[in-house]
Amino acid sequence: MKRWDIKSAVALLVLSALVFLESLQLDLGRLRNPGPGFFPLYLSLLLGGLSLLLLLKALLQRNGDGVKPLWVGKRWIKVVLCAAGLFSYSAVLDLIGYPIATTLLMVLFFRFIAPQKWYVVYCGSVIIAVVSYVVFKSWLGIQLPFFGVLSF
Amino acid sequence: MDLLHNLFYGFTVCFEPLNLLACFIGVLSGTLVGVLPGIGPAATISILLPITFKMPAATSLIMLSGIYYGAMYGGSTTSILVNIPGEAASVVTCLDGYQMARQGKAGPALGIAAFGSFIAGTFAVLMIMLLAPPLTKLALEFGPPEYVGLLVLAMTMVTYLSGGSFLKSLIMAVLGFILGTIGIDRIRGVYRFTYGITTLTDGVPLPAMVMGLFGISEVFVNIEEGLISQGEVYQAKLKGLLPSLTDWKNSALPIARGSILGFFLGTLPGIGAIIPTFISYSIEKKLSKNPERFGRGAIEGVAGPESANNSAAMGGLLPLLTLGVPANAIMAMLLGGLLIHGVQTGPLLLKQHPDIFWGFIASMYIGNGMLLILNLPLIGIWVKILKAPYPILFALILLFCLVGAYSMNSNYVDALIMVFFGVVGYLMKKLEFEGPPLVLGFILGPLIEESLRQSLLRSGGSFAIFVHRPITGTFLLLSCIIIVLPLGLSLFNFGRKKLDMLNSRKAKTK
Repeated sequence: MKRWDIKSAVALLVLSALVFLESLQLDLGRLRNPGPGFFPLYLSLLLGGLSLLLLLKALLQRNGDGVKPLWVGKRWIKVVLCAAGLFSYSAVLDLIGYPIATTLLMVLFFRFIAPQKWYVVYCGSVIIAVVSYVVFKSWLGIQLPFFGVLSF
Repeated sequence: MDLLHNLFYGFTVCFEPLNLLACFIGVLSGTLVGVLPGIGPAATISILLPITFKMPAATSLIMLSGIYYGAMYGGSTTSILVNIPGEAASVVTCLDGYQMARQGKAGPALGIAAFGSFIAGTFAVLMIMLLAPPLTKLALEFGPPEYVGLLVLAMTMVTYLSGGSFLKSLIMAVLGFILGTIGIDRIRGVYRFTYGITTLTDGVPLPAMVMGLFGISEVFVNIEEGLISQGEVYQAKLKGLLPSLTDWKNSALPIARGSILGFFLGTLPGIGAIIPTFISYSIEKKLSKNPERFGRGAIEGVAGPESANNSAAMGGLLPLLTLGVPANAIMAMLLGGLLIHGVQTGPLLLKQHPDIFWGFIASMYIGNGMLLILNLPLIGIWVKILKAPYPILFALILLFCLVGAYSMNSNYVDALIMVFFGVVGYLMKKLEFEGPPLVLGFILGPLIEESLRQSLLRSGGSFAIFVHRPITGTFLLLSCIIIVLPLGLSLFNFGRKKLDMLNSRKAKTK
């Protein structure tokens, strides 16, 4: 964990520096009338201080503590794939519409993340996309794009 | 007399068809997630949060809290039948509940868990009803400085008790505060850290954030663990769900003790429903004439903790409703859900929205009754659900989250924010950073900032206002002790270790 604690502490220090600089762009006000930048500025200092403490603690840890790997095997690749699929789905939903985007997402899930038989992959994906569209749209009244840009 | 009158008013609100339906859907989905390991009440509340936006505030509160106490009930089923706790507060139930199931006593174990939870839940509702009005009166005396003290103390306790490294939890709380500053400044009306993104002008959307941190990240972890299906479910036919007279005799006092202990511990910020179950179990073991029976199928080991977890889950509602202080991340989500409806919990809730307050209290009576009906005859169905294929389930959970986030503003940016927080939540789990302090910081941060700035305005810029006022001073002193004590102790231990090492080196060289 030591190695990862050092990395997280450094990332948090960078974040606190960014928040500090951005807060300076806002009106800090005075103590008797604090402005919008007052609270975030002091929070960034607090975050910076705590991150330094974490860094110090990690550096003082014995080396043996850093041996435990965070990611064992190659299953984490599936997590990356899944996250990429979710990001892409969110980005293209308005463009290609709900049924197509959902079918593609389900194919990704059932083909690569939790492999299923071919008929589940393709038929199941289409069924889930269509049935869920009807449920969300008709029963729950959620506005979802059907054709996306194709409808224009 | 006033209490009875108010409660009657609450029942008239709760018996409206929509509220009754919301209560039923809440406890049903709560029991379902309690049964299904891998998705907890926090994730479910976050997933269902967007659905409640279109409902009236009282209806949404009734449904969301139903999920919470429903999950407490449902968690016991998997603990007893499969030795897998459906959610963390049912871990202790595994110890004796599963042993009872192996001895062919699964029926009485499930029965006493359901009855114990029902009795504890009813006790907690009575206590909330009795304690809420005087606490509200007290809270009405609070000014901005007192609120700063109270909220800081609540934040500190939750951070301290959230488990894992205290330093990392503190960092998460501060990060939550920073995230809470995004959006429009409520006092001056200035935009902060929005970078031209329209979705961020009202701040980071809470449902997208909690769905990502609790829902999506849990699924990511499950994917990495290989989407493992459940263990072998107890196969023998369940019979005799009603506990015998001897079972009742053995369980009566543990249920009473668990209910009282759970409620009062549950009202304290940060305690949650898990710690009271462990305390209840150890108390029952200590008080038992035959402590060696514990771990081998003692019914007291099921009755006490099951009552304690339900009572504690509901006890957390007392500070939320009366002081506006959420005792844990789930309560913070309930608070967030109400804030979206423009309703602020706290002392004014009872005065300004008596329909929400009393309707909600009455719904808990009705919800507890519904749970008893759901848990006993439907246990067979819950067992079948346990066997649901997770590879299909995970895809549906993710789809529901995506649509839920998108539907808030019919905007893809909300869905992107949710996935972003899903990745952040996954990394936090891997790097051992706790999620609850971040969510609590995010929700309480703007309230603390507002009270802090109002206090400074009132005092002309003097921080002495937080010391001179006795209630604020006491709250802040307690917070300091909670922060400084563990840090001081770890420094002391570190110094002692170094000294021991030096001494042993000296001894070797001699």
